[in-house]
Amino acid sequence: MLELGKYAGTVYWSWGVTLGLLALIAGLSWVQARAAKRKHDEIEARRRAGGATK
Amino acid sequence: MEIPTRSTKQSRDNINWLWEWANPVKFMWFSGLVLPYLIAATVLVMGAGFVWGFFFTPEAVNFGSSVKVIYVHVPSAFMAISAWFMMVVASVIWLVRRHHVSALAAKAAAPVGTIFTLIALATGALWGQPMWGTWWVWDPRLTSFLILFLFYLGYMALWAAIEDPDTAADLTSVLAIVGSVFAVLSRYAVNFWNQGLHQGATLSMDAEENISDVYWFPLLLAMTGFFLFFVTLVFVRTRSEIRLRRVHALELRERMADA
Repeated sequence: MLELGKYAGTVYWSWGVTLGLLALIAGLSWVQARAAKRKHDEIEARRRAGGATK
Repeated sequence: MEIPTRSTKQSRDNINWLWEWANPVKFMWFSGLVLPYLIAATVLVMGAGFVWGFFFTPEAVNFGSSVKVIYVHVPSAFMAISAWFMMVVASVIWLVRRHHVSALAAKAAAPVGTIFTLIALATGALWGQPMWGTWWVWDPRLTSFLILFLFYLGYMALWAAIEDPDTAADLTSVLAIVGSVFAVLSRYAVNFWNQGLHQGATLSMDAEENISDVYWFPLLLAMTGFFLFFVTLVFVRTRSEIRLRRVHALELRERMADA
């Protein structure tokens, strides 16, 4: 374990908050991307089944 | 009447080649191609910067181990301002050229920029408490950063509040341009006002003022990692926005066909 002395709380909290928020936005973007792709694929498949060309 | 010379025609051809990348189909193809490499580069560079900064840097004379906060605070603050400028450039392209991809890229960048601003504010407060004896002061840089954060929230709220996407893109573009004043202030506030608690710029072109190499190199790596993280997420989020725009258009077409 790294010896951080009297500033251990400051360092751990800062890094924890940062990594947590970065993970949050990355995870959220990934989930939204998956949902958008699923919706897009569904409607494109429906459109192709309907005989559309564009 | 302007007679096109060979060089003006060539420069126009070059610019036209550039605008072709604003085509959604071309953007989807290109972003799909580079995304796996971008993700790999982000993980490698950001991981290396974090590990180096956290585990392998010495304590500073005046700041002790709290100096390790700069590897998350400085890159996030730098990217919070840079993200807003990217949004301004994309917004101007939308207003001038009406390229939908640029408006959607600006929209996609906003939540990422908001998170960077929030990280900069939170880590600044966490560092300020033991160093300055307070979580917050109405210092010029801190205040302008808080206003930038509120601009980010306002920008996203405006996109969400307006149903017509083109009108939303127009109004949010104007907001992005107005907000750029605070993005500039956030960066240069410490130079404008010789008051407040926040110290001068951590990064400077002046070698005398710049931080020592032992902190500078891992910081540079962490900043590159944050930049790659931003580009990766903007690509991912812009692709989602393009898909959702297409879904919306096709749903409208279906409803019209049913009516």
